[in-house]
Amino acid sequence: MSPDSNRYFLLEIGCEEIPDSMLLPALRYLCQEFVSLAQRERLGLPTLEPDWLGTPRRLALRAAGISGRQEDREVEITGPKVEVAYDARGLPTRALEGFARSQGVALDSLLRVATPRGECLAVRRVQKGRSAVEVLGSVLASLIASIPFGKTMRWGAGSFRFARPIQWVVCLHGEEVVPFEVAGIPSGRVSRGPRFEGSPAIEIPDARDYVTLLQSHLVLADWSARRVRIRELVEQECARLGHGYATEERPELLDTLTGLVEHPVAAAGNFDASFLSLPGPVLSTAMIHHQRFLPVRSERGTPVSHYVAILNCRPDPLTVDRIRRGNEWVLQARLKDADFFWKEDRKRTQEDRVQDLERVLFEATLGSYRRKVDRLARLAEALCGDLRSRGHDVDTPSVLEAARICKSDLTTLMVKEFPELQGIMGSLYARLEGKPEPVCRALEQQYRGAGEAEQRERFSTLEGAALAITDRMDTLTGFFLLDRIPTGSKDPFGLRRSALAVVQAALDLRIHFSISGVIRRAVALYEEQGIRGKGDGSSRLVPFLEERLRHVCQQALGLRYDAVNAALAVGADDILDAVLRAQALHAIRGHADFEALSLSFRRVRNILAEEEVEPLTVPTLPLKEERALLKALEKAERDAGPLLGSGDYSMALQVLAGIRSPLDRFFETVLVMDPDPAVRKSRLGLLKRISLLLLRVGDFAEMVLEGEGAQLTSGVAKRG
Amino acid sequence: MTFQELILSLADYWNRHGAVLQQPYDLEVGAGTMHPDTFFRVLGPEPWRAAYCSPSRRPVDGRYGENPFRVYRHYQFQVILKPSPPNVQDLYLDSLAVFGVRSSDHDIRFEEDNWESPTLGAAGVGWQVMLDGMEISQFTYFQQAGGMDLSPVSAELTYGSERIAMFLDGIENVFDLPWNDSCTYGEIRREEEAQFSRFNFEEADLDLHLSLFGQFEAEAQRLLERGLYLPAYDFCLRCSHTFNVLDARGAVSTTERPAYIQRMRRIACACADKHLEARKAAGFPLLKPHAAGAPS
Repeated sequence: MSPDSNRYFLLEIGCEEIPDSMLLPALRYLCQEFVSLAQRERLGLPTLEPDWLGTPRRLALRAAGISGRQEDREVEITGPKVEVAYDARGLPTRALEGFARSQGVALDSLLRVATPRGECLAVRRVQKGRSAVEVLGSVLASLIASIPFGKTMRWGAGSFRFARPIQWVVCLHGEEVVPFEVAGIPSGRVSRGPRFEGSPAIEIPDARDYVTLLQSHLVLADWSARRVRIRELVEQECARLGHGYATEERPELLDTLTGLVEHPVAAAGNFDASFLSLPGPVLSTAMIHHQRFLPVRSERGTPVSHYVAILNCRPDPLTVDRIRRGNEWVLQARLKDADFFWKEDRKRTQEDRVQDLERVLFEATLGSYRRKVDRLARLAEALCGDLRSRGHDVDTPSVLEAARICKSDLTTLMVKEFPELQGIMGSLYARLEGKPEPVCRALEQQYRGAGEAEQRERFSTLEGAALAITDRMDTLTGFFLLDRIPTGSKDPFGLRRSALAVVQAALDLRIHFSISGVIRRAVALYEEQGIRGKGDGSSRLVPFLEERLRHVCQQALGLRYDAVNAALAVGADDILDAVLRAQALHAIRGHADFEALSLSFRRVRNILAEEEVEPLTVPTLPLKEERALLKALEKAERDAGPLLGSGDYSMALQVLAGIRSPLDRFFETVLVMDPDPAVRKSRLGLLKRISLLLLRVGDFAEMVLEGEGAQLTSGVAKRG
Repeated sequence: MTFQELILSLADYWNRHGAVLQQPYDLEVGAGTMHPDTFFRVLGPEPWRAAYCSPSRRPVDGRYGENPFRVYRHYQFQVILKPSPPNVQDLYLDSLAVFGVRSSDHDIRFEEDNWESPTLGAAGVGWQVMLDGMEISQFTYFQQAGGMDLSPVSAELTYGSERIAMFLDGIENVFDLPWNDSCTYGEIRREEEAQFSRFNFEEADLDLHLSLFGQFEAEAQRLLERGLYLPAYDFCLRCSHTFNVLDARGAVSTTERPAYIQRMRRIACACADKHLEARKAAGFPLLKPHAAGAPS
């Protein structure tokens, strides 16, 4: 490494305010691409210090370990083929002379080298490495231009696209400017301070000084440090407000705030305590939604009339106080608004609002929300019937009532203002109207279940789960009928989340129901409305749901992929049943009996694959080994039957293990393909019965055995 | 500072920055963007700067003059700068100083907010500007209008005059705003809010408005065929307001809605096409140096 490598490299793209949600993804891309670019250009392996440098007004990157110069390397330039280079008399042709001249070398310094197109004349020379400044200067503009943003724009008379207009670019290697131009702006060494200081010019003498220099101008450029700082400030303010006071835990709000300020300052504020009569979710949302204030809770967790705001301003007390007063004034107005909505909305009941849903569009072809709730009530009836037939004590009338009014709150002023309160408002209003508690709780839970693993709120009532499943399955069926199926990263209607919610509702409440039954009913309801599928849309819905189920089994439940494959291979129409089977199979993997049973099962399956076989009914089995197997099978069928029926798959597998030894001995001693057709038919029929029994748990051939690691990857690939 | 002083000071500021001071358009519009001096002028290559206060009527926002924050008709102060100057954010921040808001004393943020008007075939990228937690302006880089990609891009600044005035005076009810030293906003406007809310929500004659929409649309198309795109655009604006009244009356079903918007958009885009053709035929007269409204 050259001694220059202790110089720092700095890139700062000064922008007009970049949306906070775009900041981190852009920084990640920039850093990743820069590291691979440096390696590709033989400039060493850079280390980023710190990880992420960026504020709303700058995307930056500082790296150590960039060499001052590329290492020299020997390059070979191939010229004409030997046949072309020399004429019949062995003298150089004009082609060869031209090549030598163009390379500026004498003919006798040319080499012969073997290439894929034959032997050629060539020149070998040492290419001097270029300086890092030169190399980076030639590639950074296109790196910057390649940063992907969700949405880009043009500005002025230019055609360059970026998240927001670029205002300045700083690029230094050590003390030296790396010169290039992007979007018509030349790189230099002058950065800018925060707006509240009048965006002063800040000259950066050396890349090393960037972070500290900016900090002295009140820009905390280190993203992670800024987030930590915000958390500290919030805690300090809470401590000042009262013993045990704390803000609501809102990690996503902290991220947003980190993306919105260059220099965080905290200011706790108050609002009129009379607003504490508003429901908690309304109060929190009014603070968070527009204002991005952190609501404060007392030691007992109840809302108090305080909040903490994170400001982007001069840290002097007068300024902070002025802004606090402004913030309080704005919040007061917001809360008055919310209070108005809260009172106004109650003038019409949720039932009255059902007819208003005529005017709220669910989807252009699928119709209004009025249409949707009509379908939901009928779909819920079918689902509840299925649930009750399987012994789930779901309160059907409550689900039906909830289904009918579950979208009414979309017409309330409160939900129009705060869309994230949908469902919650419906339940609050319904409770005030005296609706039964199961109805209210179903309304409240209907949108749950879309989040990942631990962070999400779980379904807690059968009625809530039933309503959520009904609503999501109606949506999924509708969009699949229209062939609006998510592909790759494109899922504009959140259908994956809908499918995930169905799985989570089934698992949270441990309920059995038939997915295909729900889909059939949903399709019929759309047909009544004159909507028919174009392609094989609805038949693709089952695999789509299975994909989410597979995801939950492997990610959230930690089940091994082969156990999941084995369980799902024999069907997942009943989501919970499929998971119970996958769990049982996961638990027995590696167990000697099942390793052997799985191997035997593969043999059974291979044999049966060749023949049309009926399960054995009238046995013609001359050998004792096969009679022993039949006996073991009959016992297993008898004992496992009730266990399989009740979903106790672990116990069922214990029972099934009993046929391992007789089956092994059967294969050791018996020739299945006996010349006597009656015997052959019996033996095949016997295997068929074994196969049918085992397949009630899963396809054991999918289980990967010890020492079959190689199949791990193929197993994954197969499932895509 | 009174409400009218606020508007006066903004007009004065943008006068000093080379804007053509226009008057509001004398037809009902939902936003300052619909003024022909924005909608047409952002098309094509000619530079342009204009500023005006635009009464904006949004029938669904009416609250009978009883809500302290919401009115059916509010006053947007609208500025259009074409091409968007490189220092447009600084120009904007400086403009706030005319009513005493200095960046150094406050928390002024530009938070992502993109804007779209399907009716005008227009879309832009930008921010809502937050002053100590209150949204005081929309700041938009126009990317499209009349269904066409724009080049150069214009910057549109829309100041929410009522909100700013309320904030400056610490007033919690819009109707208490001092309009000047002798009258309040409420004394001048409350009756109008009450009557128009009743009209928009309860009294507007549905058959009349449905038929008006169709007639305005037909007239716009007839005028377009005769090359009279400016009067045609007036009829497009009339369609738009008629639609908004129908919408407030609850007469537009969800399924019909996209079709209505499509019908208006078709006229607006056709007007935009015709305007561009006409300007081109005239040799884009404002491209001359130091033309009226051009940035100096």
